[in-house]
Amino acid sequence: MEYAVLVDPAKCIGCRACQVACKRWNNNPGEETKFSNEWTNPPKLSYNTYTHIKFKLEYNETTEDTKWRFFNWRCMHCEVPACAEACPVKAITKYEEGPVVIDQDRCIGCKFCVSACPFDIPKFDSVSGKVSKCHMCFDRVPSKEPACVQSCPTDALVFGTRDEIIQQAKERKDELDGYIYGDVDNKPLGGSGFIYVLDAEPSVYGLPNVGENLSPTVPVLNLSKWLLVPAALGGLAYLVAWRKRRMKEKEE
Amino acid sequence: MLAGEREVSEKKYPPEVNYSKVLKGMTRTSPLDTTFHALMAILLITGLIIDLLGPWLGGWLASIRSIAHGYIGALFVLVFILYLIGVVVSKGMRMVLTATNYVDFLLYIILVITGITIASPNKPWIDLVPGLAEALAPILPYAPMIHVTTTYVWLLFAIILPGGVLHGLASVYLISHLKRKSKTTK
Repeated sequence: MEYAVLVDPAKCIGCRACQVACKRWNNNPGEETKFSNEWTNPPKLSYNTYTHIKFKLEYNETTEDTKWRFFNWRCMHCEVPACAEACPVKAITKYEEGPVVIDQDRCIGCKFCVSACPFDIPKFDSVSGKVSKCHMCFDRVPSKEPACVQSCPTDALVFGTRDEIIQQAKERKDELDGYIYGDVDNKPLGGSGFIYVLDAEPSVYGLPNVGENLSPTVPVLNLSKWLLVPAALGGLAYLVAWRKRRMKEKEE
Repeated sequence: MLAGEREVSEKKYPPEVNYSKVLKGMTRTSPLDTTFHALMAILLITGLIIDLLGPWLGGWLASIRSIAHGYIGALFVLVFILYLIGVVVSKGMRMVLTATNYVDFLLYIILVITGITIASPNKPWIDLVPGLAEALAPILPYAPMIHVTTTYVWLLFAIILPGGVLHGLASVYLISHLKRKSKTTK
């Protein structure tokens, strides 16, 4: 059975409990960081930071009102993960329960997943030579909810079966007169394991417009090795022609 | 015997040729050429191993990717720049190059740019060249596809047209053939 997480930014208060819970569950060290103008801290995901709260301050010039938007950001756990398709050593697996997980022992740090991900999620570490990202607490799911979900005090993150989450998202969308990102209205890469119910267009939150299918770069990457077939046939034909020429020369 | 003509001992002709002699000669004549070709061969072989055997060898390839393909790739970039400068500066080098070599250079340039782009998330090393990561960011999503496809296009080009691979195989054949001949003459 597939599981998913509902992300409801309208309920998020930006407390960053999910960030802390993620660090603690994964035993990831803290990092030196700076406050950016928009207060997202750490400003970017990294090898040791799988999730963070994005802060967005909106200013309405007409009414002179300001509005904060907070939302949890990490791997989307796509149905058809571009990272897994691009990985040359098959180190990334999409589990039937939903998580997309990098096997650290198999990862060779080629960074193809970093290029393939349209959400800019996987992060490379030059010390370990590996790539990491959120694994949706695959070591807890489904008997326990992911650490970030468990820590959320306002239910801005809710864990459940995918069908339940989609149903909840639809109900919440009606309440907010909003938009579902990750399924129903917008299914990036076949739908995502983290489904956002938004009170505004995804672009307001800076969520990228990703198509339902993989970008052509990934299938072309995988199919390019078939160019070896004409190359091998060409080489063989060349050798045969060369051998014939040699035989003819010897006869003469 | 005509005046000025040297007597060549039958035992010494044809001269004994082997890989060691050829490599030593090549290194003595042009260390840059030797380094360029050796690094290129290492990069091609390790790249093919990663792409073709990756699903089976998995994590065993980590050091091949990082050292033999990554660091040697970085070294290759420097040597390739010197090689290109050599081509521009030396008329002798230009005289031995054919149209095929220039197509090869074009493909190497694509491989070098996409290779650096793929490596660009490697912080903090990439920050040694300020602004490089930002400049390469727009092509990052396409870089692996272009890098891998260009390698196979180069292989196809180098085999079907008398490019690098046939040139290499022909050299190996000639060396072996001469070695055999020299043994037979003895």
